[in-house]
Amino acid sequence: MKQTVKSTQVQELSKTAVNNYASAKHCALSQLVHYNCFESSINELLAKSTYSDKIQTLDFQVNNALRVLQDFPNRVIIADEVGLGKTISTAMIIKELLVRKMVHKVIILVPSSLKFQWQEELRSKFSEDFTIASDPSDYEKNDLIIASIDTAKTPRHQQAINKITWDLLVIDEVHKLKNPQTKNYKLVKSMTVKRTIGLSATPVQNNAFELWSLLNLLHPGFLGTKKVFEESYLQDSKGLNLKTNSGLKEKLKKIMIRTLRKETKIKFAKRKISSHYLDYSIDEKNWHKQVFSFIKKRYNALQNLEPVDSLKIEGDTEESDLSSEDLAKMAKDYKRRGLLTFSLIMLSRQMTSAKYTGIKALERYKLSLEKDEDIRMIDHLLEIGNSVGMDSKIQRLLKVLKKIGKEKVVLFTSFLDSQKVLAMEMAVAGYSVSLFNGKMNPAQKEQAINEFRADKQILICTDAGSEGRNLQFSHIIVNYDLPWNPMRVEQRIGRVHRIGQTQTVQVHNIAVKDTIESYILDRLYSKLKLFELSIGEMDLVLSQIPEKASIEKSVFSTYIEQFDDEDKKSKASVFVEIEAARKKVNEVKAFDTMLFDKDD
Amino acid sequence: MISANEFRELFEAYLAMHKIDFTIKSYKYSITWDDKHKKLLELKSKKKSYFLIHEDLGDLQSELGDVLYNLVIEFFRKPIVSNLKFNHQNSDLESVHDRFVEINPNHKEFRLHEAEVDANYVLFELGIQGEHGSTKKLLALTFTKNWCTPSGEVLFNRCSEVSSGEVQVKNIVSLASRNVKTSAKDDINAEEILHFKRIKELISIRETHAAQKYKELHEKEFNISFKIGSAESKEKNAKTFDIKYKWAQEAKSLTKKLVALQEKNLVKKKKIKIEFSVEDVSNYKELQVTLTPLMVCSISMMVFEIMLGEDEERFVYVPFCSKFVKRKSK
Repeated sequence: MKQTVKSTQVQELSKTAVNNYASAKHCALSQLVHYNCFESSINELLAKSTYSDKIQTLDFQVNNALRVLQDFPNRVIIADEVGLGKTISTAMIIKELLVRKMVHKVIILVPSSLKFQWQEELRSKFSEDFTIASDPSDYEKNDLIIASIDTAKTPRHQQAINKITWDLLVIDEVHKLKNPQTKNYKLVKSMTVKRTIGLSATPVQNNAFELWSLLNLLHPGFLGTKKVFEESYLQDSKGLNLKTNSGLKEKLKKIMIRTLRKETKIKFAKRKISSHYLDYSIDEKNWHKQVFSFIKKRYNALQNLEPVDSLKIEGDTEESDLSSEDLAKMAKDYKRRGLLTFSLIMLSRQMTSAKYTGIKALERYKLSLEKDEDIRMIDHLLEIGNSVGMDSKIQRLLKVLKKIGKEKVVLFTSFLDSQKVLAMEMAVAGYSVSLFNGKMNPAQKEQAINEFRADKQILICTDAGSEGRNLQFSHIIVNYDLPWNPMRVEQRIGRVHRIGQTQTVQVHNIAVKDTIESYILDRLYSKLKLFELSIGEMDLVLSQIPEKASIEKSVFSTYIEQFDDEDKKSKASVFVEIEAARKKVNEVKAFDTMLFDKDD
Repeated sequence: MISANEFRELFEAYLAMHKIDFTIKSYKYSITWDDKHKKLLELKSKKKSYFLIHEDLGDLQSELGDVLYNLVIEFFRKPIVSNLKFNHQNSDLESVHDRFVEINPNHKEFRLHEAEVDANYVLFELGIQGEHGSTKKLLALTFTKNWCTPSGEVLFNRCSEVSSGEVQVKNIVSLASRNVKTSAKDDINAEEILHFKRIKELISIRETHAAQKYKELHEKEFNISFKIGSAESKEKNAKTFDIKYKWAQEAKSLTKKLVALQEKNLVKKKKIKIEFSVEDVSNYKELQVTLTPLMVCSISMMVFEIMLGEDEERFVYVPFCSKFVKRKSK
């Protein structure tokens, strides 16, 4: 037995001034309260009264949190189905353990892209300030830490982490740690931890062996060796068929909690998708044709350059948040490194947004050019662009908004320039508008949301607003321009299509015929029915694709290669991958239901 | 649970301690809150009346509202320090004598006298965390250097305040913590049994798992050995030199394969030994007991010292908690 006295409490009590000593009556009443209001185990969530108004806890989340706190061993996996708010459930557990002073040093290991989201959720909804680890000294200095797993596994960070005994370790997307040969796995194995909570929405992504690997991380040997697991529980080595009465379901219940959507009895709102296609005016068509011919020429020239490292557009890049200077710098930098495709992708995307955005994009692109011939070409394109009359896409948007009527609308665009011009046009048309973008500080953002909630009809939002914000008091989204990565679109829709949305979510897409945008809308979203996926399923589909980050490049290359070429009508390879991924997800879902459905 | 009457007592004490004016008329409390409470309770006016006539605590709570109810409860839950004197009356001497006679089975002679001692009282929240889960318990100890007793609920209402004198919180808590293991023996033992049962299960899972892994490695080696044996036998019984040569080569190649596999397996076995060593369980091997002091009191009190028999075994009767305690040493 290891006995420790809570020294902070002793120190605190030592500071009590003599004139503040409790009276005999106070002692008698304290004794009364301690003995009569004491709970030896966790029967209710004491911290519930401290949650922010922004959070609506659901019964199953409370029950799950209580189950984890009461009935489960010190290492547990929460594997609720996607879209059921695992982060909230886990934050409730963390908060409860903190309020009850059962944990002191807490570390949350997350994929890099989620660290700010975790920090924000814990801060805004549970008033817990977690520090994001950037320096090895942070682990010692702060009791509540969020660390990107990629940072944590670096030798300096790992060394600092291993010096500490952690009261609680939370691992988000724990399924990514299933390979014992990886540094991630070794990091977790090397830590000294009293309690561990692993989170995964997809304990089974391909087959049951992944489930075995996942459980083997937290409970080595719990399901035997892989061979024993296969022999005992599975019908074959494909790992997608269970033996009847194998007892696996019962065994899993001891260390894993998985809530399926249908068990929650929550009514998830439906989605209604409307795609509005329009034709450019002759002038606009001509301008676009010339710009895309120029882009194709540049692209072809790039293909003949010496091979360079393949370009990846980082998932976190917020192009809408970059200033003209930043973009110009970035363009120069990319040029220096020979990674010019990115600039061309950006230019293409901006050209299919608003006319004003296209012109600004060309002006910025010009800064990256050196040859007089190219600069002259851009000047020529700018001249044409400036002479093009009305922006047909904006006109179409106004018609769509008119049809929507007086209901609140979240209008998304990827670019700050488009946001500017849209705000102006909306104001002229008599709409009350609130703006939200990544350039704003937290207070400004809060104000924008509050204004929209209170009395503005339209919130014009860049993609910086599509993460972490809950806008479910509205149910209509308009995608003025369409992100090429489906995950971005899903994040946009996710702002209003959440648990608690009572109305059908309307998604309006605006695309110009015969442009890269309509190509994506037709081939990717409509044909593969990506808009019809349930909340969170997009993540499942995309996680099956080998290189998520190359979606934009794959789409761009395929489109631009067949641009202006009647004979070439190929499908982007990534579309094929996504189609296959959708099929695979359906297969795995059937197995998952077999494994976790409590109705059998 | 506390009763409605007890809560009314707490409520009145809370108001008095915060110097908040109130009057009571037929269980109707008319209260003039201060600014701090007005804000805290989100009241429009400082004056507010509550009908505290309910016999059921639930009804009383709904009359007061959760915020006020919790405020009162949490106030009395806050850790406190106190310096008290236990007021004892001499007339207890006879009753102590009689009670000790009852618990003195061999009817040894004993001497009884009063003594004034500086004792302490600490109420701990005992957090016990094991691999099987965690639990919390309350543990109150009344003690001096010479004796210590788990004391449950004690007679604070027969105490009075000591006007001056600092309470040595650190020393008192430290002294109290040394007695926890003995005083909370049953609770800790019960948890320890569950904890070690779980550890045993974990170790068994690991050992079974490691054994299975070794077995799988050996099976592969055995299969090749079997093939070697078969090839050697075929070589021995071959009817032509060509066939003999063919099987000799086969046996040689299989032996080479076996050696390579054994080397590979040696590395794998080392890995298994590390990965599934029960050492890993040592991270959480010990039952963790965390002591959080909730009340720390220095209490000057009268006790009855009892010297029993010729060897003068000594006991103490502590009226503060109505307990007979054996002294640690003479």
